[in-house]
Amino acid sequence: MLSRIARGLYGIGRDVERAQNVIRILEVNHKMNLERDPEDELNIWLAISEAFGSQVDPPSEFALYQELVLDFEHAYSVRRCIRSARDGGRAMRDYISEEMWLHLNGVFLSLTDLSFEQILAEGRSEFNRRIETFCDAFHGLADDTMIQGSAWRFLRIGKFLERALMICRILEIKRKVLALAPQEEGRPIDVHQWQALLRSLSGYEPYRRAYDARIKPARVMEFVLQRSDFPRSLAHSILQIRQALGTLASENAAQLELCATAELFLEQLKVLDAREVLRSGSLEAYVSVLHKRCSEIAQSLERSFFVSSRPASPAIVPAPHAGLVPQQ
Amino acid sequence: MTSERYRPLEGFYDGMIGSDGLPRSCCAPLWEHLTTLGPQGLASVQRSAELSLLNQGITFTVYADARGTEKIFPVDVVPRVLTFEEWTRLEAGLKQRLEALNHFLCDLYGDQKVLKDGVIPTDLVVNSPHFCRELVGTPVPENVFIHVSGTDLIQDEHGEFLVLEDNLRVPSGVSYVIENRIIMSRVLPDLFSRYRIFRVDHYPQMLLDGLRSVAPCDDPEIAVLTPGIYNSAYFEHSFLSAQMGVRLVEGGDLVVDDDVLYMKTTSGLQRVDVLYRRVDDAFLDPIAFRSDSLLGVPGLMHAYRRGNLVLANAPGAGVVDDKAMYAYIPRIIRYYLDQEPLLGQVNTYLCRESKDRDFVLAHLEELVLKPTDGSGGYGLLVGSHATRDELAAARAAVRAAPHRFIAQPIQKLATMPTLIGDPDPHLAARHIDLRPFAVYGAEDQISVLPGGLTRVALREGSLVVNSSQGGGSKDTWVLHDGGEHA
Repeated sequence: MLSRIARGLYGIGRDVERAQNVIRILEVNHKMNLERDPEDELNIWLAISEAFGSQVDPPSEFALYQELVLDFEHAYSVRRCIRSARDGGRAMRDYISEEMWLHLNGVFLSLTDLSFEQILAEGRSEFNRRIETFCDAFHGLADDTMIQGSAWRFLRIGKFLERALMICRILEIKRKVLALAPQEEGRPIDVHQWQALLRSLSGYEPYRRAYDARIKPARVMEFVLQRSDFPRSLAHSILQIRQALGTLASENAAQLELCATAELFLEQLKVLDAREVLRSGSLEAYVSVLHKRCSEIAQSLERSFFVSSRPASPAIVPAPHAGLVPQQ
Repeated sequence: MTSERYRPLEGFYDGMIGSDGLPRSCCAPLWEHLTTLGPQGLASVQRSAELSLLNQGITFTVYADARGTEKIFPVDVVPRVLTFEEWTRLEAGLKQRLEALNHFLCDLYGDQKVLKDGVIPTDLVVNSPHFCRELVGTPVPENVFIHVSGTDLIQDEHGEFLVLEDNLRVPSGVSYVIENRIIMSRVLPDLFSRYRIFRVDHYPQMLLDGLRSVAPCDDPEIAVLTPGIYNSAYFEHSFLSAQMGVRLVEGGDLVVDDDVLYMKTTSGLQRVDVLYRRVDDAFLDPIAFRSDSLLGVPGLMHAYRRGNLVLANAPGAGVVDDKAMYAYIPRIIRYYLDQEPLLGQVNTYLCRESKDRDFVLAHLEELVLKPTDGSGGYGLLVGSHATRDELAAARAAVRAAPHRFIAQPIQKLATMPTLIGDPDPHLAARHIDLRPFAVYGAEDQISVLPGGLTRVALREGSLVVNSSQGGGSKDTWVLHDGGEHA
C-alpha cells in the first residue's frame, strides 16, 4: 500500500475518534456544570482548555464551543476533524466503502453553516449526541463494510492511537481538577470527577456492570487503563494497535521494533498498581509517562510506515494553484 | 412531436437528418424511438441520466472557478451514430496518421533526417516550447512516443471528417466515453435492443495491454501519475487506474534513487517500470524542466534517460501539438509512409509567414485565431463572434508575436439534434466534434476505441465544444456491419 494512502486512512481514523472524544468531554462537563454546587469555585472549563492548548481567556463553555467545535483551524476542533476526514475520504474513495463515504459526506454537509446559536437551537446535548453517534456509526460501518485488509488496519490504528492519547489527556484533565480541589477521598466533588472520567470514556455503565456502583478511584484507574475487555480502555487500544501492526509489519527493522515497543507497553500496563500510584501521589508523573509512550508509538509509526526507508525527495508542498496543469 | 419540430441548420451537415429532410438510414430506428418518447419523455430520461452522473461523482473541476466547483460533464440523451463504413475509413486514416507521427517523433529525437531533408523548417522545431532538446539521442522504449492519443476531428458541410488537433500529450475524456455508454444503456435500454453497437468498455484492458507491450520486463509495475484530487480530470485518473488494477500515484509518492523510480509504500520502496503520467512534461521533474515547480519528481528524467523507466506518453511528443507544426503533417505522412493522407485536415495560415500573416490580419473576422501552444479552447478567438475591441487586441497580439499564432477558416462544424431542456424541451441542432482514443503499442500495433467522445456545444450557434467552455457530450455508437436491424 502507498504510504500516502496508509497515512491518509490512519488520519481519517484519528480525526473521527478525536471529534468524538472532544464532543463527549464537552457533553460530560456541560452536564456537570449544570449540577455543580454554586458555592464551588472550581472552573471545570479551565482544565479542558489547558488540555487542548486552547487560547480562550477566560475559559467558558461558549468560548470552548467556538474553539473546539466551530473553528476550522484548531487541531482539536470537531468541525476541522470532520472536514479533514471528509477530504481524506474523498481522496481515498477507492479504499473506503460507499457506505462510509456517504455517511462522512452527509455529516460534513450538515455542519456547513453551523453556528453556536444553531447548536443551542438544536439543543447542546442533542447536537453532541448526533456527532457522537456519527462517529460510532462510522467506525461500525468500517468494521462491517470494508475488507479487513491493510486499508482497514491503518484506519483502525488511527482510531485506537487517538483513543489511547485521549485517555491520557482525559486522565490529565481530571487530575488537574482534582488537584485544584482539596484532597479528600469520598468527597462529593471527588466522586463526581471520577464518575465524569468514566463518562468521558462512555465507561460509567460498563464500570457498574463490571464492579458495582461505588466509585473507587483505584478501580476506575484499573478499569480505564488495564481492562483489555473494555473497548475504550488503554490496554484494549494498545492491544488492537499491536494486533494490526503484527499483520502489517514486514521484514523492515523499524516496523518490527515498533511491534516490540507496543508489546512492551502492554506488559507495563499489566503490572500497573493503581492503588500504589494514587497512594504515593505520583499520578501526574504516571500519566505523563503513559502519554509519552503513546506519542512514541505515533512517531515510530510515522518513521516506519509513512516515510520511505531511503532518503526521500524534499517534501512536496502544493503551490498556490498546484494541480492546475493545463490538460488537453 | 419531437421530430417534427426539428430543423437542421441550413448549410451544415447534420448527423441525423440527410439533405432530403429524412433521417439517414442508420438513424431511422433511433429517430423513430425519439419521436415515440416525445420531448417530455426525453426530458425525463435526460434528468435521470444527469442525476446518475452527479450521484456517482462523475465530475470535473472548472479552473476559472476559484472555488473549485465540481460539475458534471452533461451527457445528451440523443446518441450519435456512425456507420461501419464511416468508422472503418476513419479508423484507417487515424492509424495512418498516428503511425507517421510516431515515426516522425522517433526521427526528430534521433537522426533528424526530416530536418536534414528540409521537410520541416528547423526553426519551427527548435523554437517550439514542447521540443525537448535534451532528449535528442535518447532512445525511446520500443520506439513508441504516443502511447495514448485523442485526436480531435470535425465533420465539414459534406460530412467529411477532418483532423483539427492531434492531442499527443495528455488527452482526457475516455472515461466519459465508457460512463456515457453505461448510463445510456441504463436510461434507454429499449433503444439498444434495436442496434448492434461496438462495445467501449474494454478500453482499460486495451490501455493496459499497450502499456505492458512497451515494458522492459514480463511482469512490469505500472502506475498512473495524477496531479491530484484538484485536477479537472482526477475522476478519469482514478477511474483508469482502478479499472486497470494499477496504483494511482501523486508526485509525492514517488522518489528516484540511483536513477530508478520507486513508489513509497508501507513495506518500503517499490520499483515502477511504466508510468502512465497524466501531467504535462513541464511538471514531471523540477530538475529537468521547471525549477519553480513544486510538482513532479526530482530526478525522474534521469531515470528515464538511463532507460530505467517507460513514460507514457514519452516526453517531447507535444512538439506535434504545436499548431504551426500541424500545417506540415500531410507532408510528414507522405515523407515517412510514402502514402497520401487518408484523412483531411483544416487549411491553416501560419502567421509566422508574411503572406499568410497579411491575409490573417485582413480577414480576421472570417477566421479562427489560435495560439500555437494553446489547448482546451483557451485563448482561442472566433473572428465572427468577436467584438471590435477583441479583434483589435488580437491583431496587435499577432503583430507583436506572429510565430505564436495560426489561423484557420471558421469551420462549418456538423450538427446533431440535441435535447434543449426547460422550460420547453425540444430537439435543436447543436455543433459537435469527435475525439477518438487510440493506444499505440510495440511494433506499431495501434488500437482505436470504436467511436470516441462526441462533444457538443450546448449554447446555440457556439462552435466551442470544450468541457471547460460549457460543452456537453454524446454517447457515440459505431454500428457493426449491418448493425441497424429495426
